Amino acid sequence: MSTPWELFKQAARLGEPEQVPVGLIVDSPWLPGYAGIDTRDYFLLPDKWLEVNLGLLERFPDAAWIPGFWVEYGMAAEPSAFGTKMHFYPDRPPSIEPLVADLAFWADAKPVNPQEDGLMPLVLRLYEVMDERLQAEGLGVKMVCARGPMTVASWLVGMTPLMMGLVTEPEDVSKILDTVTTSIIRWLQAQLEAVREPEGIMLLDDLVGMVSKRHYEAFIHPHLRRIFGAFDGLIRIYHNDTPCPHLLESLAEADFDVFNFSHEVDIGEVKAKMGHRVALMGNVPPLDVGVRGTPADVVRWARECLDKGAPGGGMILSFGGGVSPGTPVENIDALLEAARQWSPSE
Amino acid sequence: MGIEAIYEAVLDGDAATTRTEVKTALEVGVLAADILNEGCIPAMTEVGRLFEEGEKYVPEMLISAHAMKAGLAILQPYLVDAGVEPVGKVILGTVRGDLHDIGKNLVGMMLEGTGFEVIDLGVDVSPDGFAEAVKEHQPHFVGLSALLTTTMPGMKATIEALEKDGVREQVMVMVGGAPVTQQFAEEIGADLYAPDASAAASRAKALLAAA
Repeated sequence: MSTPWELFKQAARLGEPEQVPVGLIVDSPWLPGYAGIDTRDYFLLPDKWLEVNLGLLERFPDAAWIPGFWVEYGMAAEPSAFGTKMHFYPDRPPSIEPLVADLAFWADAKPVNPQEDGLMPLVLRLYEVMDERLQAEGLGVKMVCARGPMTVASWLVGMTPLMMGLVTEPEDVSKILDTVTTSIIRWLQAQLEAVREPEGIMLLDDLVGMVSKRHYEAFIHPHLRRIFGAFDGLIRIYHNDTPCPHLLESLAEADFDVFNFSHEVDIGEVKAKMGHRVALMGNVPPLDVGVRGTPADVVRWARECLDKGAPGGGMILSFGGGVSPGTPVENIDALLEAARQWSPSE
Repeated sequence: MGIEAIYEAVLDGDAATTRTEVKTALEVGVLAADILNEGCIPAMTEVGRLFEEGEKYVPEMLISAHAMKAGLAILQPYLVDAGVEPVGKVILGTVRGDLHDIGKNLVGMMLEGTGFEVIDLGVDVSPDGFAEAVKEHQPHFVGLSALLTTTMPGMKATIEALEKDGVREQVMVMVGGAPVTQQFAEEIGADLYAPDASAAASRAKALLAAA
C-alpha cells in the first residue's frame, strides 16, 4: 500500500492511484487551536511546533498534510521582508498593516533578499534545523510555500489601492508585481535550499480571483507562469479559494499541477475546464460542512465530489480552501473514511 | 451632456468626467437631487448588477464608486441646502484583528451609491468601538466585515457588545465577508447577510423599507 504522500504525488501527476488521496492544507489558523496552544507559542517554540506537527501524522496517518511541517509566522514572512508592520495577537495569526499606499513608491522598490530581510532568515534557519531533526526520524520537509504576487502586493500598498491601480495606474502595478514576483521566486528557492529532499511548492493567492479575465491575463498570468515555471519538475500547488469560474481556462495554462479552489465552484465544472492539465484538490465546503456539518454531511459531500472529480484520475479529496479553525477531528476522520470507501463503480 | 453623461461617467469609472458633468449640470440648473437619483444612484445600481452577473469585477466596481464619490462631493452642499435626506444611515467597519478593507470599502461605496449615509469606522474595530459609534451616530444599520475565519468571532463579540450596552434593539446588524455565510449570520443573531457588496446595498434598502 502506498503512503498518503505517494498517493498524493500520483494524483498530482494526473494519475489514478489505488485510492483517492486526502490532502489537507493546515497552517497556523488551525493547528495551534487543534493542539490547544497559543498561536504565538506555536510560532516561537520549535519543540512545540514539532510536537504538534508530528502529532498530526500520528492522529491522522492516512492524510497527506499540505505542505506539512510548514515553518511560518502566519502570512507575515513575505510582507515583513518589505518592511510592513505586523500585529501579533494571542490565539490567532498576525495581521499585516500596509504602511505606504503610494503605488509610485512601491514601483521603485527592490526585490527582497530572503537570507537577510524581515522574518525570512528566521524561517530559513528553522527549516534547516527542523528538517535535520525530521530526517533523523525518517521524515522531512517535502514542500515549501509562498503567498502569490497579488496577495503580497496587497500587503504593501493595501488591497483597495492595488485593485484600483490595475485600472488607474497599470504601469506602477505592473512594476510592483514584477518586483514581488522576483521576490517570491527567490523566497521559494531559498526555502527549497534550506531542506534536503523537497518535492514541491505551494503558492497561495486568493486575490487573483477578484479581477476580470482581461486584467488577469495582462497583469497576473505572466507572473504566475514565471513563478511556476521556475520550479518545473517539482509538484506545484496553487491555492485560490475566491470563486473564479471566469478564469478557469486561463488558470489551466499557468503551469501548476494541483489546484485547490473555492467550494462555491462546482468541481465538475472545474474538472471539465482544467482537468486535462491540472489535478483538483477539493472540494468539501470548509465552514458549512467541515466545521458546522456532521460526519455524515462530510461523507455525503465527499462522495459527491469524488463522483464528479475522481473518475479518470487527478483527484485529491480535501476541504476547498483548507482546514478551517474549529474543524472537529471527527469530520476529518469522516473525510478520510469517505476516500477509503469510494470506488468508481459506486 | 446632462444626467445621462453623469450616468455613463460613473458607469465607466471616470471620476474627472463625472466631476465636470456634475458641475455643468448644476450650472445649467439641474437639481442636485435629480443628478443623484437619476444619474449617480442608477449608475451604481447598474454597476452592482453587472458585478453580480460577472461582467464587472472588483477593480471596475471600485473605480465606479470612486467616480460616484467624486460627483457626490460636489453635490453634497446642494443636497444639504435642498434638504435631501439619505435613505438611511450605516456604520461600517472591519472587526477587531482584521485589517482587510476591500470588502468593507466595496459595501460602503455601494451603500452610498444606493443613497445611504455611511460612517466608516475603518479596520480593526473593537466590539466596544462599534457599540460606542452606534450610541453616538444612531444609525439604522451597523455593518461588520471580516475576511478571515480567525476574525469572524469578532462579529459575535460585537453583537454581544451591542446587547451589553443596550443598543442592540435599535440597530440592524449586517454581516459579510469571504468566509461569512447565511448560516453563520443566523447563528450569531445578525439581521442581514449578503454575499457581495451589491446585494448588501439592495438588501439593506429593502430591509429598511420593510421595517
